[in-house]
Amino acid sequence: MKRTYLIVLSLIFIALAILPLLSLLFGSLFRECTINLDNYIGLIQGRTLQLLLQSILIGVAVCFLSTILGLGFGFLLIKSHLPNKALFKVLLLIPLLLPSYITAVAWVDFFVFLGISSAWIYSRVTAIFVLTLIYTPLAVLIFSAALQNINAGLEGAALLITNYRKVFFTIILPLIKPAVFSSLLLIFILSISEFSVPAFLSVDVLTTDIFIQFSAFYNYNVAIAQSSLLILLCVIGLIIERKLLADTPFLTVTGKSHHSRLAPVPQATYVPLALAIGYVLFSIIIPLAVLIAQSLAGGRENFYKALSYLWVELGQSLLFAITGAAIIAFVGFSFAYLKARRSYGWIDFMLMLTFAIPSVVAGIALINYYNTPFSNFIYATPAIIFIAYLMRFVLVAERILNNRLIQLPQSLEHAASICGAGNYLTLRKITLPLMSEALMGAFIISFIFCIGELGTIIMVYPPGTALLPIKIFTIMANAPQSLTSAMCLIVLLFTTSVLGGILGLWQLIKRARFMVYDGS
Amino acid sequence: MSRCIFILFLLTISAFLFLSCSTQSSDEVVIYTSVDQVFAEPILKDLQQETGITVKAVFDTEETKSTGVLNRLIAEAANPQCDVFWSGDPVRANVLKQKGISEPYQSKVAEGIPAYFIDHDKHWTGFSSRARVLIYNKNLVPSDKIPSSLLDLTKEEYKGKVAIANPLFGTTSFHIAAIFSALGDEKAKKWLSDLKANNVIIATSNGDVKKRVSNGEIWCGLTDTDDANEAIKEGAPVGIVFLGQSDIGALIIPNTVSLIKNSPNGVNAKKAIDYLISKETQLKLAKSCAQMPLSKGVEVPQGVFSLDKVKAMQVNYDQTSKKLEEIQNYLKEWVENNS
Amino acid sequence: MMEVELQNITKSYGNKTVLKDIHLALPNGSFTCLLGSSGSGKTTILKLLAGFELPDKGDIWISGEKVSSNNKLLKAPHERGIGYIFQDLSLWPHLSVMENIAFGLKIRKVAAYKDKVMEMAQRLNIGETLSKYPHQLSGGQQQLVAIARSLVLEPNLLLMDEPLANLDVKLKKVVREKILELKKLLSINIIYVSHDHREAFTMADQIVVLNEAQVEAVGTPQQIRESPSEFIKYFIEL
Repeated sequence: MKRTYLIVLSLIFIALAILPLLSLLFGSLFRECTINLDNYIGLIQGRTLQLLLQSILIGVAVCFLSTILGLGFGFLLIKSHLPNKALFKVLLLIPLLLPSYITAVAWVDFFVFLGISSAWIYSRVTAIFVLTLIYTPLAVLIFSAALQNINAGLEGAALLITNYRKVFFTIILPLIKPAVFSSLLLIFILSISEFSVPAFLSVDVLTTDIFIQFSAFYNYNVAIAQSSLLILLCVIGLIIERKLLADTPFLTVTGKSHHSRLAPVPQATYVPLALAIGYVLFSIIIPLAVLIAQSLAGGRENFYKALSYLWVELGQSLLFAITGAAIIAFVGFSFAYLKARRSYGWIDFMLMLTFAIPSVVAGIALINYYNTPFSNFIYATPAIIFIAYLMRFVLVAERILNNRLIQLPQSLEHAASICGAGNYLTLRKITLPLMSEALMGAFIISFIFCIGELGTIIMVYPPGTALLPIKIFTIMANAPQSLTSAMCLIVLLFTTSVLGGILGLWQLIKRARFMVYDGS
Repeated sequence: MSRCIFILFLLTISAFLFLSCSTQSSDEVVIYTSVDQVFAEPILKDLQQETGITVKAVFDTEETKSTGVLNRLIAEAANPQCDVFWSGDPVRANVLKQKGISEPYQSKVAEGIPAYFIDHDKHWTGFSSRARVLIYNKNLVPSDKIPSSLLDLTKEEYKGKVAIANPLFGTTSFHIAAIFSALGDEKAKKWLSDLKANNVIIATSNGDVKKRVSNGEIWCGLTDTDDANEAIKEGAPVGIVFLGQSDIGALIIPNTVSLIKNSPNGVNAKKAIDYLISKETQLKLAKSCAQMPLSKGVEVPQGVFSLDKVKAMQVNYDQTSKKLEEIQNYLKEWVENNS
Repeated sequence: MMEVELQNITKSYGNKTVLKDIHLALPNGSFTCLLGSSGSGKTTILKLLAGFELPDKGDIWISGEKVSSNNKLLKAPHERGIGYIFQDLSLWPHLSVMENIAFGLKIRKVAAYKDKVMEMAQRLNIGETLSKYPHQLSGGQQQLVAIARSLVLEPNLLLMDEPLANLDVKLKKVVREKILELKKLLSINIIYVSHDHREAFTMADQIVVLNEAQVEAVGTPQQIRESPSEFIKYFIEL
C-alpha cells in the first residue's frame, strides 16, 4: 500500500477519533485557563487506589481464566476429533452475542432460583465468573485462528521426538505466544473497562466510581482523571506485552505443509465431546434457559409484542453494524499493514487509547468535539455512530489482522511486484485474498461488537435513530421481565441467523473462488 | 469479488446518506426523557399524531440509572440538540436549571396545577406524579409486621431483610434528601447509620428492589409507585404501603418538563410542553402506570392512588435539591462503607 | 555495457552491517554466482537489486539506469524488468499454477497470455499441472513453476536465491539443466545465490565470493579455484 495513503488515513483517524479524547484529557488538566492538577492529585488516595486494585484483580483473574478456557476450546475446535465442530463454533460464540448486562441478570436469576444467598451472589467472585463466561468466546476465536495457522511440519518434527503433551507445551504454545498475549491483553482491557456487570453485582471498581462521578456528582473532570488511570493500566499492559513478545520469532505460513494437523489423541471422541458439551451447557444453556423460562411466563403474545417493539430496529441495526464492521475491518487492515509492513509501533498506543476509555467517557468526548454548529453534519447524522464504532473497536480488528499479516511471508507480495504488479494490484490480487479468512474474522467480531454497543452510542445517537441495544435497554426499565427476556431472545436469534447467513455465504464464495485452497 | 464487495460497500454508505438526509424535516421537536420508554413512548406518539409535529425522542436506560440523557444534555449544552427535557423527577430538572441549560417557560395549560409543583422561576413544570412507597412480599412478611414508618425499618426484626436502591441516584437520592430536610441532619444521619447497622441491602435500582422483593430474596424495600404497580401487574405477591402516614408523610415526586435554552425548535418545544402537562396526558399516565394526576379535575381511574387520600411529605423541591448536593459526599461514603 | 553495477553499497540492519562498501560490476550476458556462507549478505544483494530493500549508502545501476541511490528508490521493483526466484519460491497458494504463471502477463495485458503460459509450461515439462494448486505439486514441480512464472515475462535479469536448496540430487540435476538451457535460449543475465560451490562451479561463468560483508574475490570458476585466499580455500574444501 502506498505510504501516502496510509499516512493520510492515519491523520484522518487521528482527527476523527483520537483528537476528541486527547482534547478531553487535556481539558481536564485545566481549570479557568490555568493548569490545575487537583483532579489528578486527588487520584492518589486510599479509596481510588483500592478501586484500582479491585479492577486489576478482576481484570487479571478474568483474562487468565478466559485465556485458559479459550485456549482449551480453541484446541478442541481445531486440533481434536470433536464431531460437529461447526455447530460448536457457533454455540461458543453465543455469550458474545448477549449483552453483558443481560447475561449478568440471567445468572443472578439462576443463582437466586438455586437459593444461593445474596451475599454470595452479589460478589467479586460472581463478577469474575460472569465476565469470564462473556469473554471466553473472544479467546476461542483468537486461538482457533492461531492454531489453524500452525505449520503441521513443525508439530510433526517435534512429535518424532516426544509425546503430544510435551509438543503442546514446548512447540505449539511458544508458537502461538502472540495470540496468548493478544488474548490476555484484550480481555484484561475489556474487563477492567466493563461497567454494567460490576454495577449490577454491586462490586465497586474503577468504572463504577467513574460512573458515580459522572452521574451523581456531574463532576466530569474527576471522572476523566480517573479514566486516565484505566488508560494508564492498558498502556502498562501493552508495554509488558511488547517486552515479552520482543524476541518471539513469528512463524510463517507457506505453500505445502499448510494444513493443520489433528492432535493424535486416541480416536475416542467422547472426551472432547463431553468437555465441549459440558461447557456449552454451562455457559450457554443456563442463561438461555433462564431467558426462555422468563419470556414464556409472558405467554405467546409476549413474543409478538417484543417483535413489534424491535421490528424497525432489527433492519436499521443490521445496516449500521454491517457498515460499521466493514469500515472497522478496512481501517483495521490498514493499521495492521502499517504495523506489520512498515513497523509503525506507535499505532498500538494510539488505538489503545480509544479502546481503553470507558464508553461513557468516549461518548462525552465525542459530544464535546463534534457538537458544534460546524460539525452538525457529523454529530446529527449516522456518521457519529460510525465514528463511535470505529473508535471503540478498531483495535480488536487490527489485532486479529496483524496476527495473520505477520504470518504471511512478505516474499509473496514481493513476487507480485516483481511480476509488474503495483501496490494496489498486489494488495488486491495477493494480500487481500490471502488475508480473506482473517478479514472475515475481523469483520465478524466487529459486527458482533457493533451490534451490541450501547455505552457510547446512547450518548451520541441522533434522536430518532433506531438501534437494537438502545431499544432493549430503554424499554427494559419498568417493562415486565418477560418482555425484556423475549426481546433478548429475538435479538439473539436474529444475530445468530445473520451470522450464520454471512458465514454460509462466505463458505459458498470460498468454495467457488478458491476451489482447492482452503485456509483450514 | 472484491469489486462486488466494494460496490456493495458504496451502496450501503450512500443508502445511509440518503436515509439521514431524507429524515431531516423542519417541523420537528426533539425530546429527551428519563421516563421509562414503555410509558413515555405512547404519549409521544399521540403528541406527534395530534399536533402533526414529528417527535424525535431519546430515552434513557435502567442500566445507567437513567442519568445518560442528563449527562448528554449537559455535554451538549454548548450547542443544544434537544428542545424539551421530560424528567421523571424534579432533581434532574433542578440540575439543568443550576447549570443554566434550561430556560423559564410559563405555560397557560399549567394553570390547573398547584403552584407547589412548579419551579418558582418557571424552569420546570410538574405534572403527573409518583410517590415513594414500601413494597413488601406478602408471603414473607406477617401481616402484623408490615412496617408503617421509615423509622420501623431500623428495627431488629427487619435485619438484613430490607432493600433500598443506591441513594446516590434518581428518586432514591431525592427521597433521602427530603428525609434529611424533614428530620434534620442529625436524626437523618442516625437513621441511615441505624439502617446500615441493620444490614440494609443496597440494590442497583428501584426496579431491582421490586424484583428482589417479588422473588422473595428479601422482605421489603423502598421503591416508586410505578415499579410497585408493575410488580402487582406481573402478579407478584406484593403489597404496597405509603409510609409515614402518621408522621412525616410520603414523598410525592412529580414528572417535570423543562424547556432547553437555545433549543433548535423553540416554538414546537412550547407546544410539546403544553401537550405533556395537559390533563389528557395526566389521565393517560394514570391509566398506564398509575401516576397520580396533579391537575385538579382529572378523574382518577380505579386502582390509582389519589393525591387527596395520601398524606404527602411537605417538601420544597428547590431546597431539597440543594440539600441533596450538600449530603452527596456523605451518601457516597455511606454506600462505600456499606458494601 | 555493464548490466548490473553496485557502487559503494553499504547496508546494515540495526547495528549489524551486512554489506560494507561493496563494488560489483556484472557484464551483460553473464551467469554470475554469489557464493558465500549464510549471513554473508548474498540475499541482501538480491533484495537491493530487486528494490525490496534500499542501500544505506551507494548507487545501484541496472541496464545503464540508476535505480536506487542512497536510501532512495528511483525505480520501483515492478519497473525494473527483472525476475526473482525466492528461496521459499513464494508461489501464491490461492492461485492455480496457470494463474500463478499468467499473473504478470495479465498485468501487462498480453492478449495471448494463455499460449505463452502453455509454451513456457511445455518447455519446463509442467504442462499437466496448470490447473492444479501449488500445494498439490511436488517440490521439483513447484520449483519449475516458480521459474516459469519469472521467465514467462522475459526479464533481462533473473535473480535466483538458492533455488535448488530444497531439492534432491536427481531433481537438482534436472532443474539445473533446465536453467542452463533456458539461459541460452532466452539470453538473459542470471545472478544466482548459492552456498554450494560445486553448483557455482558447474553453472556460473563468473563467481563472486562474499565474506563478512565484503567481496573476497571475483573471477571465473577457474580463477576462483586457483585463488590464494585462505577463506576461499577453506570454503571450497568444506
